[in-house]
Amino acid sequence: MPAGARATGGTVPIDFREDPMTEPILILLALAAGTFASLLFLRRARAEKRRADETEQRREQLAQQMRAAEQYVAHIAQSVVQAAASEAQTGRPYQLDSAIPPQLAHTQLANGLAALANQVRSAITMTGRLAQNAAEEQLAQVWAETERQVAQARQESVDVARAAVRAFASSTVQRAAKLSSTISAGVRRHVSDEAYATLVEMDHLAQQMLLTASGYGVLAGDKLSRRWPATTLTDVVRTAMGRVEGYQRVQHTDLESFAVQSRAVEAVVHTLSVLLDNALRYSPPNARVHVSLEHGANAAFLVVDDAGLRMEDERLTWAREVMSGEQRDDITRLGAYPQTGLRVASVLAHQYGFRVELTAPNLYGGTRAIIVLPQALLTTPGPSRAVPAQSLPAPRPVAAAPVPSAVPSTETPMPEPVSPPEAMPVAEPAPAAAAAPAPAPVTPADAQPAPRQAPATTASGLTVRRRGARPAAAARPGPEPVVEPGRPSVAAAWMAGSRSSRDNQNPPRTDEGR
Amino acid sequence: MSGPRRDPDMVRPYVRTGGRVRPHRDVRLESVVVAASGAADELGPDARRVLSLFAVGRGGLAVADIAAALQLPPSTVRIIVSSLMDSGHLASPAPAVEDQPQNDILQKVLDGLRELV
Repeated sequence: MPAGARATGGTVPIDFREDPMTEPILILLALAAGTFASLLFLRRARAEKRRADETEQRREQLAQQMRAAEQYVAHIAQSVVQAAASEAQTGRPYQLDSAIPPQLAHTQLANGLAALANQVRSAITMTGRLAQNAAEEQLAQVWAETERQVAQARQESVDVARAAVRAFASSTVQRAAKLSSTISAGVRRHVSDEAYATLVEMDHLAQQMLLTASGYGVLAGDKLSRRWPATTLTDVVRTAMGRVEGYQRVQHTDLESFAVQSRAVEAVVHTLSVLLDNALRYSPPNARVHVSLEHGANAAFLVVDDAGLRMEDERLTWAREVMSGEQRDDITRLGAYPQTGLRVASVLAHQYGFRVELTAPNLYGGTRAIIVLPQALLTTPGPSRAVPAQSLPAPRPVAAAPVPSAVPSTETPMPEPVSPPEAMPVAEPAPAAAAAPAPAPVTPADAQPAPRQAPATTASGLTVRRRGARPAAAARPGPEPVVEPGRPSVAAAWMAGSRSSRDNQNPPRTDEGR
Repeated sequence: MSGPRRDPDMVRPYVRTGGRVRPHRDVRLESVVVAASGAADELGPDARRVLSLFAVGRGGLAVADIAAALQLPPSTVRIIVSSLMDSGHLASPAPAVEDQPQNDILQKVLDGLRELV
């Protein structure tokens, strides 16, 4: 090799020509040096190769890790989001397949990615939950709003219905009350049996009309408009009887021991009417309905027993529910009248503080209704039932001599003393109308001729009275002539006398006319 | 003012008479009745009130007077009185024949009156 020769030649500066023996040595040395150099070279090359292989392997490993990481990131990106979304949607925790690929085992990248996956997942879950909550909240708001609007619409329709029923009921009550006071005045004014029968029949119808109409008024939210003074239970029962069909079948015991306080009278009368009506409706037409009174420690029990078929369980339950106040003021769910009646009773009981109980079967196999009147609504009957002494004329034991001057001066028509204006019903709607017709004279025909025919009338009247007075004559010592000009009996006798006189007078006239 | 006045029309007339609309017998407003015998236990409230007007020793009362005293419609009282007469609680007074004016006297009075008219 030239390079090695040169180097060797360089390092050993020997002149070959001077020593011929040195030449082989020099050749050997050169060979050795060459061999050593090539050996060294080989070894270095081998190491180089090994290093290159290692680098290649490492590169390959990194590439694999890179691919695994890419796949893992892609997997996580896809599955974690999906998992979180489905969890948020269904509310069930979703098991995430986040197993770390073997290529990435024990690398920081793997840990980092796993942490990232978990965070992404929890973040999405959280967001989902918040969104769900927000949606639920909104839904609830919409729901509440809808319900509110439905309730409002319903309330409005109830109000409209109530206003209509109230207007109708109140005008009907007013007119019926006026009609009933007009009839009362008529009953006092007309003495003929036919007029009386007709008026009484009309009156009965008017009272039933009043009951129905004021019932609807109560359901529509009105207060009862009629006011009465404190009234004994006897009169409460009899007033209630006057408002129902078939009152003749009602039998009541003596109920004079209690009176109902003024403010509750109409309510109790109305409630009792409803119960009587119910009892009469649901019992055979010949069966009686009994009203009795039980005394309690703090209450009085007005008991209505019918002998009808006992109330069916279903109906009894229904009636009790009505009485306990379920939907009692719902004007849009009115049934036919009997049902409405119980509902009215329930409202009244609630308003005025008494109770109504229904039980079946009772002693007679029918239904028993009880009005429980607490002490607060009761009072003891006043002495008002006693007839005031001055209103009763002293019975005439001795026939009073006719007093011509006194009798004609009493131009008092018959109805006035029996029907003073203040005795008219106190029905509020028509007080004026009630009072007005009362003082009207009987009939112009009756009133006019009376003064002129006074002597005849008096004679006629005396005959009757003298007979009546006869038996008591001995009992009364003082035969002083008592003449009370306004006495009803005098007026009545006078009227009857004038009428009979005219009746006697008329036939000849008609004969003359022929 | 102590509340509304007692109202005699609160209890309707047909209830007072038990549904009867005319008297069974000829009871007029001017008819006079006297108390007879009979227990008042079985009677209705109005019948008892009527009877309570007939105190012991008092004489007869005209139907119109009863109606006025009780503030009841006269027709109603006629029916109640008629029922009480049916049941024997009230009676017509015995006719006092000798007390009756003679028919010819009445006729003379009537004739005199007609001349006046």
